[in-house]
Amino acid sequence: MNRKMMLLQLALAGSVFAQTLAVPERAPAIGPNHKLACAAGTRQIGGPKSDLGAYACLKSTVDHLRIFHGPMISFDDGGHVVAVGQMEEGSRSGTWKYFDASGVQTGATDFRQGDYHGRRVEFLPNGKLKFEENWVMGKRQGPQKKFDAAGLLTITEYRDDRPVTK
Amino acid sequence: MTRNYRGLWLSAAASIAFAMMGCGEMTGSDAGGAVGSACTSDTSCASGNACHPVLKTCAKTCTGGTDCPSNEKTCQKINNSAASFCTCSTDALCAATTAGNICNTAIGQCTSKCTVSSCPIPLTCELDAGQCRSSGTDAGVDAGVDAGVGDAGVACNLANPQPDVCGYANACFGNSTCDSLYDSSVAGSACANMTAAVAASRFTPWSASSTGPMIYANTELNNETAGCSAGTDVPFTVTLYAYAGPNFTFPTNITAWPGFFYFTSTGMRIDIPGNLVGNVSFPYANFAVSNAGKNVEVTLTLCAPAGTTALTAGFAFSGGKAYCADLTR
Repeated sequence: MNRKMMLLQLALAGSVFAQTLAVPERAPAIGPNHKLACAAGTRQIGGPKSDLGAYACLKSTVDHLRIFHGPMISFDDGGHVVAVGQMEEGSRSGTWKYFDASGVQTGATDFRQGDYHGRRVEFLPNGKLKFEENWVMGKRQGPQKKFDAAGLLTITEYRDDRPVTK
Repeated sequence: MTRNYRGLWLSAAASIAFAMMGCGEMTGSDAGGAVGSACTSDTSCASGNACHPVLKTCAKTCTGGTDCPSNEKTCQKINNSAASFCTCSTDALCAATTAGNICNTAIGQCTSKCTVSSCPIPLTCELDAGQCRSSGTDAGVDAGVDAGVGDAGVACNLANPQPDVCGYANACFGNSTCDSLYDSSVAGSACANMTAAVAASRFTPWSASSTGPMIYANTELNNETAGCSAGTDVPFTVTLYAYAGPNFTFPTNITAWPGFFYFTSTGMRIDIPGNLVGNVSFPYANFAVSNAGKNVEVTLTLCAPAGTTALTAGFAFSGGKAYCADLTR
C-alpha cells in the first residue's frame, strides 16, 4: 500500500510567523487575599498555600457532589500562579492559560466540558510558538502546526486525532 | 499497596482465537529467503535466517550475544518466535552507530525515526517518538480481539514505562506478557459507573479508531484515615497510572491535561484535573509526569459515607478505555 502523508514542511521565518499568531503573557499578580468573582450559589475556597493549591468557586449539587463553578487560579508549591481558567459545572471551560514559576506563559488551551476544544498552543522558552493545534471535542482536526528550535514549521493534517494518510 | 491490573478477562479469549486461527505456511521463497525478503514463516527464509514476526521479512538469526553487533547486542526471541534475533535496547547505542537512529522497540532493530508510511502493517508511526506502535488491530490474527503487537504471550517488562513493547491499548500484565486493556464500559460488565455514563452519553466507548490516553493500573492506599472533610466520611485513596495515546505528550501541569474524568455510580462525569471530584480531596501536588510526558500518575481520595467498606469508581480519559477501580477498606 502506498501511503503518503499530507505533510508540508515550510521553511518560514518562524520568529516573525510565531509572533503574529500569539504573544505570551505574564502571569497575573495575585495577592494573599485575592477575591474571585464567584457567582451566587458558590463560595470561594483555597489559596496559594492551601491543601487545594488553588483559588476556586465551590458549589454543591443536588446529589451532594461538590464541584467547581467559576474562575479558578492554581498555584505550584512555591505559591506561583501556574494556571488561570474557568470552571463550568465541574468541568474546565473556555481558555486556560499556563505559566512557569517565573511568571512566563508556557501555553494556552481552549476547553469545552473538560475536553480540549479549540486552539491549543505552547511556547518555547524564548517566547516563540512551539506548536499550535486545533481540537474538536477532544480530537485533533485539521492542520496542526509545529515549530522546531530553528523556526522551521511543520504542518500535519489531522482527522479524528490521526495524521491524514492517503 | 497493591497494584491491580485489568484485562485478564480478554486474555483467555485472545489465546483461544489465536490457537484456532493457526499460522499460514508458504513453502515457496521470495528472492531465495535472503535477509529483507518477504516471508510468512521461517521456512520461507534461507538457512541462518528466519521470518521476523513483526517485519514479515527474513532476518539473520542468532544463538547468543556474540553473534550480534554492538548496537543490537541482545539475542532474543521476538513475540514468541521460534528463532532468536539480534535486538537493540537503547536509543543511545543505536545513535552511536548511525546518528539519529533510535531503538525501534516494536521491531527490535535500530532504525531512523519512522514516518507515517514507514512502519510495517499493522503498526503505525508515533511521529513524536519516531516509534512504530500498534494501532488497535493486529490485522485479523485473532479477529481484533487482541490489539497487541502480537497476540497473548508477547513477553514484556512490568518495570518499563507502559505500554512497554505491548503497543497502544495494551499493557504488560502480572505474568510479564502483553494483553489488551479491559474496557469496563462494555455493556454487561461489572462497572455500573461506566455503563451508566455510556447510557447517558457522557462517555463514548473506546473503539479501534480511538487515540486517547489509557489508564492501565491503580494502587490503593489501605485503611487511610485522612483526606476527607468533616471527619465522618470514609476516605478511599487511589493512584491511577496512565500512558499517552499516539502522537501526544502530557503537559507538565495537570490542569492542562486532556479530558480526564471520574464517573460516579450514577454515571455523572466530573473533570478531574480542575476539580474536587465530588467529595474528594485532590491536592494538586499529587500527580507526576514521567517518561518525557508519555506516562502520568495521579493520586486522589474519594470520600464515601460513614460505614462504607467498598467503593467502585469509574475513570477514563476522553478517547481512552474506561477503567474501573474496586476500592476496599
